[in-house]
Amino acid sequence: MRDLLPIIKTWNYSRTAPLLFVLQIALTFMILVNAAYMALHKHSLLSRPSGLDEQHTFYVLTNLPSEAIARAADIDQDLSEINDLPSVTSVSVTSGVPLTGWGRFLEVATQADSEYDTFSGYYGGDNALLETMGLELVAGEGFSQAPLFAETDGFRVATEIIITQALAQALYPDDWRQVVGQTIYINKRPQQVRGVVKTLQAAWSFWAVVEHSVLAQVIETSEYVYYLVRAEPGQQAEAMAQTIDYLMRRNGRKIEELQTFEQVKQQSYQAEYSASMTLLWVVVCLSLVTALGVFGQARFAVTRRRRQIGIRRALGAQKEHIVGYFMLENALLTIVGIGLGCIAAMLLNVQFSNWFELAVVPVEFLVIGGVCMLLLGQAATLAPACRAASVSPAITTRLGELR
Amino acid sequence: MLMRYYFKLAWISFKQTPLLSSLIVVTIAVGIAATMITYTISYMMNKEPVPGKADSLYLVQLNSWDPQKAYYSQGEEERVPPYLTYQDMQNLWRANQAQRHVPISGYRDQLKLPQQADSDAKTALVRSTSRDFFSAFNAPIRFGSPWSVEADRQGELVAVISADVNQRLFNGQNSVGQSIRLGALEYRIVAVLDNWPILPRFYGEAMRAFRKPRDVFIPFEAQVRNELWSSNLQAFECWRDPEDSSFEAFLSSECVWVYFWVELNGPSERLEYEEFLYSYVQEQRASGRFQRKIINKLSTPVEYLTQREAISQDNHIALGLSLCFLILCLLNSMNLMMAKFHTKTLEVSLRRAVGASKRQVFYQFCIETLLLGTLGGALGLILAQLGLKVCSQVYQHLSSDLMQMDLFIVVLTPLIAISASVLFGLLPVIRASRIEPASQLNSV
Repeated sequence: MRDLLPIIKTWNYSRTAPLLFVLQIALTFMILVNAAYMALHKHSLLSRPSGLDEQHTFYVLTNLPSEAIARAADIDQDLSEINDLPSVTSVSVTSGVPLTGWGRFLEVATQADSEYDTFSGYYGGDNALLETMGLELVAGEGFSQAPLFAETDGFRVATEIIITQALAQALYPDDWRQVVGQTIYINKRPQQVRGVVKTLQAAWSFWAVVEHSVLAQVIETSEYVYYLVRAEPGQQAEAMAQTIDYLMRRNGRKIEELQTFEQVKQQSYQAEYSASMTLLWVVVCLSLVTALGVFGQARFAVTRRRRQIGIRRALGAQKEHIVGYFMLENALLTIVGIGLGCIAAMLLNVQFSNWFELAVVPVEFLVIGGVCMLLLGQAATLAPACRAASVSPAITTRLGELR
Repeated sequence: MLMRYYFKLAWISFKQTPLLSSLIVVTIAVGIAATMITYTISYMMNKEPVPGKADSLYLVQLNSWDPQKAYYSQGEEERVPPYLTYQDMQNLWRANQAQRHVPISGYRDQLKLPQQADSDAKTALVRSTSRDFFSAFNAPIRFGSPWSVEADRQGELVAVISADVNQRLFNGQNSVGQSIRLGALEYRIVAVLDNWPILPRFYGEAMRAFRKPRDVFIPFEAQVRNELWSSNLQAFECWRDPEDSSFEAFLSSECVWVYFWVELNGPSERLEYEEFLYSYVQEQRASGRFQRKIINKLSTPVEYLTQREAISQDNHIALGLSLCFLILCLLNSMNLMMAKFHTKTLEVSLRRAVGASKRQVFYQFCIETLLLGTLGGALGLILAQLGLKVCSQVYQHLSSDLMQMDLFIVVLTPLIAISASVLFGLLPVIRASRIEPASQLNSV
């Protein structure tokens, strides 16, 4: 620590280099913190639960190659055949699959004559839908009646519904549990809420109300239907093969889509995923460039001061003292840079969040980022500093040596 | 002559301090590459989709929505649906008041050659539109020509196929006159498109604006007459249910689902078309439809994409970040240049002592930064190309055409690298040229 004063005195002696260094650190810190925060923010979107048993679920979109009148019976037969497959835990017919980007949305209101209070996604299916999706009931109970049938738009004939907790909270902010047994209005039609499930996402990952979903027990008998299949753990591939094998036995059968839910999720969050990958790259490259820069400058500083180092060594300084001097110098400059960067980051962040609707970077980020930055600088200085320590004290005897 | 000597000196100096010099070059290159990658993507996304037609293509939007409530309102402002009902589209098309009319819809079906087995069929996305589609959006045609006006009217089973499909089914040969089978129907090929990297693909769903154009194009009426509908592909919104579940009832309903583009030349035609739309809506109003406030909108492709928020903010953020990144890299290289030039104090004072002027020393070092900048720019261009390759892997949801530099950017990249490195090299260069003659010589 007694090196402190000489270090500060050297700054006064040559100002440009330390000033540039501080500026560089400040700018790096500012970008690093913002990029890392954004990357993490995107990543947190990716890890939101969809409500489904994600690892073991797949869906198939297929046609019902029969007249409209026979389709209900066809669905019934398909479901029971697929359910009997040894690798399948549960199967359901549904009007849509979460996060696929294709689905129906509804207006939800608590009063009959009022404008809608909020929007919600919609899924209609058979009795087993809750089990196949792997949904967790947190209030009320499951469906009691036998499923109803409709050609399209099943919510028009439904009488009972189950909603997600997020939707319940949006409708009854004070006590969402009171929604059970209440009548709410779905596209202006009264429906009785039988139960509340914990989570079930709608079809669009970017939707503001993606956590709002309504489930009804109505089987849609349109030409194309979605079968959602939950496989036994570790047997998803077999389940998919066996399901397709069964379906294709029927003449005129077409498989429009066949995807595991993990694929669906990946596609749905492709943009977020790519963005977080890019930001991660920015962070890595930035750290690398900064480390290289610090390394280059430290090496240069050592070369320039070889004689002074030699003199200090000749006057009795230990190798550790020389290393300590350079490390301390770097640490001081880095801390000043981080301080400046913090102020800039906060100022910029306020602007940024105004422009781009970004959240303000939390303080922990600044602290962790600062520590990382400091460690990075120290690591990059270590090698040149050790090189400095190996300067022979005998160098002082050679006058005129510059390099 | 002296120039050449300076270049030689610069190259010698590069070799004298290989580590520092390469660090400078790499730093510049990384900064340039990062900036150019993000700039390329953002530039390609915001590019005018149809060159020269920025203010002649318009999406027609009408307020045919529910008298009881707005389609969508943001504060005081009322928004109208992006698409039209089938009947409005038909009426506007028949009235023939614009240069060109392009309705946009589509479906999905199994595509194969008539002689192929069912199992060889592949799912194809079909775009149903009008013959004007190709001329209005400058779609390049390799073989044949678009279908006739008659085909549009009668809904003939004719098709224009993409270069990809032509390659797959006909090995890239001229397939005009041949047939393809889409589901249960056989279509005669009238034209084959060339590669068509239209970006953004503004004319359909904004959500899918950065995908490739579809595989097969057919007359709009062919889709309608044959009741072809893919229930999970074509978006539609209804404020009142159709009379029954038949396709005719759907067509005559108040459901909106057809994007309708018109081409209008010049502001006078636009004004005339606006007047025409106004009188059309008035007429419809008299017969009981259009009971809301009259909002007729003509949006250019860019206006439409902005309105639908197709171009995400992430882009601007990425561009801003990468610009900061470039500045940082340049600051870094500036520091390194200072270090590099410092090692030459002796050389400068010697040159000054034997008669070189400040200006000559200044030029010498400028040439040196120029060399470093050029090398950095060249390396940066290579890195950027590699980076774009990686990006097209990571950004699979976007068309790979986005990840390609055009000539403008290829030229721009080294120019930015050179000018930026010379600019940021100025401070070290000025400092180096200020060294007094013979100041260091006493220590030799």
